[in-house]
Amino acid sequence: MIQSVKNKVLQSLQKERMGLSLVACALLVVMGISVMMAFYLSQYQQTQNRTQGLSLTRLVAEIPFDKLASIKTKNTLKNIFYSNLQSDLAYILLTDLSGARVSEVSNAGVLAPQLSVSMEPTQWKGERELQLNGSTIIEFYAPIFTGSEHKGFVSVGYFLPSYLSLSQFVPYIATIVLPVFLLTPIFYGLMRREVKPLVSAHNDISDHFNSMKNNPIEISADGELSDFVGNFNEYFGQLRRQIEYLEVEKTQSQVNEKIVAYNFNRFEQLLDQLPDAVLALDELGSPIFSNARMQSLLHVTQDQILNSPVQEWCNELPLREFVQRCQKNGQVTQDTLKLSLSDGPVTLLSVKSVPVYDDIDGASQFVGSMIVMKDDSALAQMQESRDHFIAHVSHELKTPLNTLAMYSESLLGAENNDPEFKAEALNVIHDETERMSELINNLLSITQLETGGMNIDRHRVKMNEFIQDIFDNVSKSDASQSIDFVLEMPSVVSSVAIDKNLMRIAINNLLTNAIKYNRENGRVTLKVEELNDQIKLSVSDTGIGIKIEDQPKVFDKFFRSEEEGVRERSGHGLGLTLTRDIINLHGGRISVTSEPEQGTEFTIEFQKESNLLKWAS
Amino acid sequence: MKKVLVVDDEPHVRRIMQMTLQKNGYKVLVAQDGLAGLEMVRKEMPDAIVLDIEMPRMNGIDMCKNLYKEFPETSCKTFIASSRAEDHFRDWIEDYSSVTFLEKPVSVRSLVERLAKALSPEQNNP
Repeated sequence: MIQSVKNKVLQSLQKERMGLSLVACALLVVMGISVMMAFYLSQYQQTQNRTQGLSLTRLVAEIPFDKLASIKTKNTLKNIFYSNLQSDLAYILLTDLSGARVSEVSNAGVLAPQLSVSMEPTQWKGERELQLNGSTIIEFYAPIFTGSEHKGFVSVGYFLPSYLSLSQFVPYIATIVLPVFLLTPIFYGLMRREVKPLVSAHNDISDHFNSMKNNPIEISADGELSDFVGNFNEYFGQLRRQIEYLEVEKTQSQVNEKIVAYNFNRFEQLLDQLPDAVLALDELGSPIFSNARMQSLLHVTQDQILNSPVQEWCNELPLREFVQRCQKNGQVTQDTLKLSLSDGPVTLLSVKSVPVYDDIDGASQFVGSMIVMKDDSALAQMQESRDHFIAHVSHELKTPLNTLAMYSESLLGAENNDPEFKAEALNVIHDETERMSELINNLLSITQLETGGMNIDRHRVKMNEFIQDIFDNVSKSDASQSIDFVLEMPSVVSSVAIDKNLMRIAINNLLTNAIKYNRENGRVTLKVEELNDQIKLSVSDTGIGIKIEDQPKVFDKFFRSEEEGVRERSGHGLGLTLTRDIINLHGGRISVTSEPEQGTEFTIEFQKESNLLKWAS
Repeated sequence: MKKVLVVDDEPHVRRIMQMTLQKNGYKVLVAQDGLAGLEMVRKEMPDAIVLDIEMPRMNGIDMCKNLYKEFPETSCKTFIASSRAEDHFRDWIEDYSSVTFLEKPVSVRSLVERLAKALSPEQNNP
């Protein structure tokens, strides 16, 4: 409550601060005038008293001492005193040379002080200030004579005027001050009347901003302020329209900013999904964007790339030079770079830089470059593998073809009628034809397996019969004459679900290799074991063995050891590749253990049934 | 009698070439790879070599380069045969005037004719 009243009072004072200021100023002026007048009157009174004192002293001093001291004329001093009573005259004292009071006239309650004057003539006349009964007295004294004989002294005392004594001038001061004081509220009233429109405008503006309404403000005023208020209204109208325009612009700008941010985020996400690396540069060549692939390719972060010179985040010299080239020319540039990223294998990077132009003020201006980098390593590797494969196949086909061509040409020649040579040539032609046929069949099988063109055709197969059949065929062939064959197989082996034809090729390959790379009178052992749900099959020989460093490569396509023992034997390096692919197709695995000069053992393990059939059951 | 060295890892090729060249009046030496061929050259410098490229231990290209490096003044002619079409199998020959490239399959009759021409006295003494 008290606070509320206090606030209201403060508000009222705030509103009337101009009037209060005016009253305060008027009071200050009045006080100033009063003080100045008092000071002036005081000074004036002092001067008057001194003039009167000096005149009166001189007047009394010119009267003969005896006359003033005579009883007959003793009223002379009184007459002089009373004729000056209206002034501040305090006393008149007549003393003889001994200082004794001869005659004295003074105001009631005033006792003239004793006058002591030096007998030195130069000191006989003068004036002095004294304190008498709490009042300040200015005393004038002079010698007095009778004829030419010095008889005594006269002293005249005057009250120095005090400010209290100035009260007699109050009406006079009031006559001057009062109009000033009275004119102040009239002046204030007139001023308020003139500034009323401004106050009204102020209130309207305050109300407007407080209520936040868009009501236009129109202030009306007559007289001298009408032009000012008119201009003010127009200015304020323009200001209001400008504010409204800016507010609309601000809202639109905020909306646009959000749309741009949303679109930019979507665009960024889209670019991050690209398999190719993307780097955007501004018109000065400074990186302003990189997608996720760019960062993973060079093992850097977005922060490292953005607004940093390329040499700070790219260690690859060819790429650095390409980016620096793009920063300069602003033209479509493309290249293929070989990089050793993170000391890994060589990465083949196809890079292309495209300048970006934007329509600015109706003119197409270069605003930056977009660099797209595509990792073509896999493609190049694929291309290289394909070229390698074709070259190998071509070589493997041309080698027997060369032998065939030579022998057939010799057979056709008239000079070779030797029956022994003819028999040899026919045998060679037969063997080489077989070799080519085997090569082509293996190639076709591998190609079908690797391209998914061959489907596994599983059937339930009685394992004992199946293995025995393969074993018999191989062990009775011409190539096996000097080899000791051993089959170790339980009397009853569960039937298995396999592609009979493919599995036959795989086991056959292992057995023919065991024969081919064996020694004379060596041994080949085919061992079959039945595990829980698997069949384990191993083919071992007592042959030349495989060098340790060659063992991991024996399943590679076209691999043939450089060893003399291997080179002496024909082969094209596809048999074990095909075997591995067939076992993989059955969900099994193949491994090799070998001791050079001692022999080799290949082991196959595969499921009795396919996983699909097991799940179905 | 002119001496011809046949270097090939294919036994059938060595055999048919040996037979054919012997019938055409050459003394034929054989080796199964580049290393064995180079040893043979050191022992008995032939007048001509029929050489395969892809062989174990040392291939035909290395044997040829070693041969002409070791015997820069030799007049031995080399016929090198390969089925490989890649540039690096052929481009090196430009540095060796005594080396001729033969595309596989090689015709034995054509080879005999080329050998005869290369080893003729007119060719050696122009």
